[in-house]
Amino acid sequence: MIYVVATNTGKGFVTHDDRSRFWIRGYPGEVWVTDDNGHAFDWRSRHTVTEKTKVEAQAIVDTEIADAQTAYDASSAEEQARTSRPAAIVLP
Amino acid sequence: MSGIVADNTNLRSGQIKAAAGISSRPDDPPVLALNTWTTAANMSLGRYGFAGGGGQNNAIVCGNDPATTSSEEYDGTTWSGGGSMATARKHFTGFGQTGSAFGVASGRDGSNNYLNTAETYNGTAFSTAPGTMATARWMANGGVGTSTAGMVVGGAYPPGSGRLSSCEEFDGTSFSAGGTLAGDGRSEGASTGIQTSAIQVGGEDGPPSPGYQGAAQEYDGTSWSAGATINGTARKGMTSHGASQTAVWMAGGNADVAGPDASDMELYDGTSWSYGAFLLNKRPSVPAGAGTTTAGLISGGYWRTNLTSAEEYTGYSGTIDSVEGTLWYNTTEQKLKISSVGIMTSGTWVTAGNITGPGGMYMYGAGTGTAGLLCGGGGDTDASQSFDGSTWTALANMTNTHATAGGTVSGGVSWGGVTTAQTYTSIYDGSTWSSEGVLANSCWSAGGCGASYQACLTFTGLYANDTYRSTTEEYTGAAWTSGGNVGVGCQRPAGFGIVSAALKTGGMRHPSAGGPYTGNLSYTEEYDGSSWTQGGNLPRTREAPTGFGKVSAGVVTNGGTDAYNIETYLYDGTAWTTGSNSVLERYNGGSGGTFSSGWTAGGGSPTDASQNTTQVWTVPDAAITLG
Repeated sequence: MIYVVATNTGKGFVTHDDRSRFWIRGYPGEVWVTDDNGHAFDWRSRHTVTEKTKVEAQAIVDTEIADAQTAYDASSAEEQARTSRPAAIVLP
Repeated sequence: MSGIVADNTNLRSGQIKAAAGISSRPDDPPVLALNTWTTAANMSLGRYGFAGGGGQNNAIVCGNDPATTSSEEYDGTTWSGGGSMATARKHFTGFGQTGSAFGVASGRDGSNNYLNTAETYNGTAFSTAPGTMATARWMANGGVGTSTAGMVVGGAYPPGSGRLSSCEEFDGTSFSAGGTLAGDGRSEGASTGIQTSAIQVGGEDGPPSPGYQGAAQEYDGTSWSAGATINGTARKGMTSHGASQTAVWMAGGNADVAGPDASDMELYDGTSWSYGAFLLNKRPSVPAGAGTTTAGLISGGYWRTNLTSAEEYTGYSGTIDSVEGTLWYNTTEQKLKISSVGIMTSGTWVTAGNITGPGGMYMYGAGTGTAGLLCGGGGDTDASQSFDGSTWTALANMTNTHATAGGTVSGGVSWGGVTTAQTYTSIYDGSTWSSEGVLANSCWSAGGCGASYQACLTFTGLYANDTYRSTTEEYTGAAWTSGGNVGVGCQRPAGFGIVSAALKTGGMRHPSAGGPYTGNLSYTEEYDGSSWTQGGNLPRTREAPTGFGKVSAGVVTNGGTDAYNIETYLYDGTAWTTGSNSVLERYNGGSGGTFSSGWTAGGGSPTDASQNTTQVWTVPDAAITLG
């Protein structure tokens, strides 16, 4: 798998053609994980991405989740009832 | 390119340009068959606690938490500012199948007052309706119907007193009592449909039996009754939408207080829920969506901050109608091409007779849909049996237990080890098994395929020391010879095809093996008789999947430890598209057949490692020719 940080620019960022040709999923912290094949390489070339190691990408996600959990814990009971406490995510 | 069945190399550019009705383009059109989510334009404002509705290309969102009057409209390409509500709202209800005829009701305002008012939108401006609801509320279960025939479903009011089971119907002017939800009252679930045929799913029930819900309720215009339960985790904060009660999608949400945020999608056909495509991003607390089961839209949600991003869903119902039969001229390749009717048409799965011998894990298949050969079972036995398309018949025992099979029921071959490395090879003449040849590389848990006992292929698997082998060996009916090495060694990949055109996909590579590919794999490779090259990856990773067909028209289904092992993927020689879900959850089963007629049998399910059931895959006959 390849790990990058990239800003979702909206329509066309991940197209139907992309999804039919390689696996991709977004995670907190603007982390995106893709297959390691030519089509995914083309996608990364199309966008402004910063490649990360898996450890680096996981650290970004972990920080995002920790911050979100802190924010959740600090919110009122009523606010907590409307959402849920973010759980840890292990990148593939 | 998906589904190309022929190239007319005799025709040249100038001739084609003269032909009416044929488009010329420098490349092949995109594959459109995959049911999937893609990025949509981002909203200008991050939103959650909002309401929305409409279609994928005519959607509206309004409100937010914190409460606001603003709205945005989506035309399928961009979001633009819409009219402002008279009252700033959060956690309220919206109803409407188009963005230009939309209604809102309930919620709380910027001062946290509970609202019992409604507004209607005409595509330009909101107008406050004269009537008010009997009970102010917020966090209702989405909205049903239209701005002139809508319904607010359940919700909560006031804080601490539990959820509401009451529903209120709206005619564009005033409210009247609707049917009452069963149970303890419910909030933050999803609803869709019309006033006389609606569905509510998920949400959180209040005391005395609080908790997140996975069950649905259906409304006939008068009363609610129990509906089907979703397959995934019970949740709240998700959205659902659809053109009718029998064509509904549901996605996103919050699974439970301590659990994962739900990112999966499910589809409802009026009878049961089935898994759909995963969202690109986890999207908790997303209260509104738009569109249908073929063209959906989901936006916003809450993840530490209110989300601006949106996703579009494109769904198909078994066939690729949008490209099926499309004719075009590829000016780069100077070839006339047509999309296939037959190749990428999805088939259907039905159950067939149970296998007669030992079932369970580590079964290996070969042959066709109506003349199949199944070896092993019971964990690691030497049993074999044949399949005629509906029933199984026990055959003679093999000379050894084996891991992989190829050939046909009248001329089969099985080789290698199941849980320990072996070199033994057994061939079947339609009556008895005998030993014939040995593998150069002792192995277990290998992949393989082949059209006859005189032309089979085995690849990868594990050596006796449990390291992954990359070698390939080709069988001639008497001896094995070396072939090209695979790119990624693994165990129990799916394999099908012939020696000169084979496919390997999925499988598992233990993380301790290292390298860029570990765990359950989506990696696909194609073999041309001498070397392997990478093909299109499976949409999802698969351990021990089953597959059959050929490189240009292959079928893979099942495979384990990836949560939902029922999806079917179809390969056209380049990329995978999604076919109909299989009817049995399995991995480590056997399989055989062609694209149009195949089967899988045995294996283990998540709850039982000794399955003896069979499912049959059938694609309707279809053919197309050029010229």
